Amino acid sequence: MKDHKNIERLFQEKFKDFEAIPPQESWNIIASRLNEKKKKKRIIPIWFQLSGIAASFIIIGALIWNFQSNQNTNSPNNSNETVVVGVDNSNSKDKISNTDFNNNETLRPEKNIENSENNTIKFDSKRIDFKKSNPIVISNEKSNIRYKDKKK
Amino acid sequence: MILEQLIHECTKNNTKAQEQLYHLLAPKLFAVCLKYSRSYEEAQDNLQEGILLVFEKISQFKNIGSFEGWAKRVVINYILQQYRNQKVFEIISEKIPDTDEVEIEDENVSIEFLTQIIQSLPDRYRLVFNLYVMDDYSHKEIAEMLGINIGTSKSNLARAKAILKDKIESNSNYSIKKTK
Repeated sequence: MKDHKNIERLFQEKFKDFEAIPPQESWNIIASRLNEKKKKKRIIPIWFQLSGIAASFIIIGALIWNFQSNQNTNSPNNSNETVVVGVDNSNSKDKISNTDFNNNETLRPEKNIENSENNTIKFDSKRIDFKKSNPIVISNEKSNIRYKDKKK
Repeated sequence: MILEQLIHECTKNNTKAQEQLYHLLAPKLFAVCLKYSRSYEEAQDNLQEGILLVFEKISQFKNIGSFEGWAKRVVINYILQQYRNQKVFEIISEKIPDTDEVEIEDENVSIEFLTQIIQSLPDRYRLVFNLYVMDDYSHKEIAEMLGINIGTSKSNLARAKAILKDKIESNSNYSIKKTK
């Protein structure tokens, strides 16, 4: 065992202050690898920035679109409703022609109109639309109601 | 620049500071790599990878103990990891070789020769010898680091020393013959 200790001591003493200068190319390799890493690190924030900008554009765009469509809801929806009313008109015109013959028949329809108006109070918006569009619509409705009454 | 400042600059990836720190550390770390590797070329590769790892982990250094010691451990752990990946520790030889009583006359032995014979050792002998003799790790620590038994670590060390002794003796015999 004595020589074992000697071997250990020999190596310990010899290598105690052992230094070896590596070849110059080692630093060049390390430096280029460090540069690669830095580039990679820089690329990631750029992507984050770009995606952040893109995301904010999308959000702003969505907000504007939402706001505009909210503003527009009044006019386009009204037009839609009037179109519906128009369809009703065309239908009711035919009905009018059918019902015109019976115009003089009774006073009941007017009472019914009052009833129907009471009913329409529940659907405020529709009622307003009718009034807005024109009085003919109301008259059409009258005729409609008359027709319905006739059916009854 | 003071070492602490240099380390601080390196955490910010300052290239000039990194180069300065490299030139400060490289000779010591390359010496470690030469002892732990199979050849000069492998030592060079290990140095480069080890230094990159040091720069990568430099923010983890807490100014406790010497920076040189910390960097050395980072490099050693990197090298051990490489060997662990290559699974060089799986072969286990438990038999402890017989040893002669002959003492070594170390006067004529050069450090280049010693480095050379360390490098020529089988991987597991070389690593155990380096860790135990050169870097003061205990057999328990070595066993944990390499994932082997304490007994295996001891027998590997004994085997390594026997091989080294033989090589030194044959070399000195050769040089004695040569001088005659």
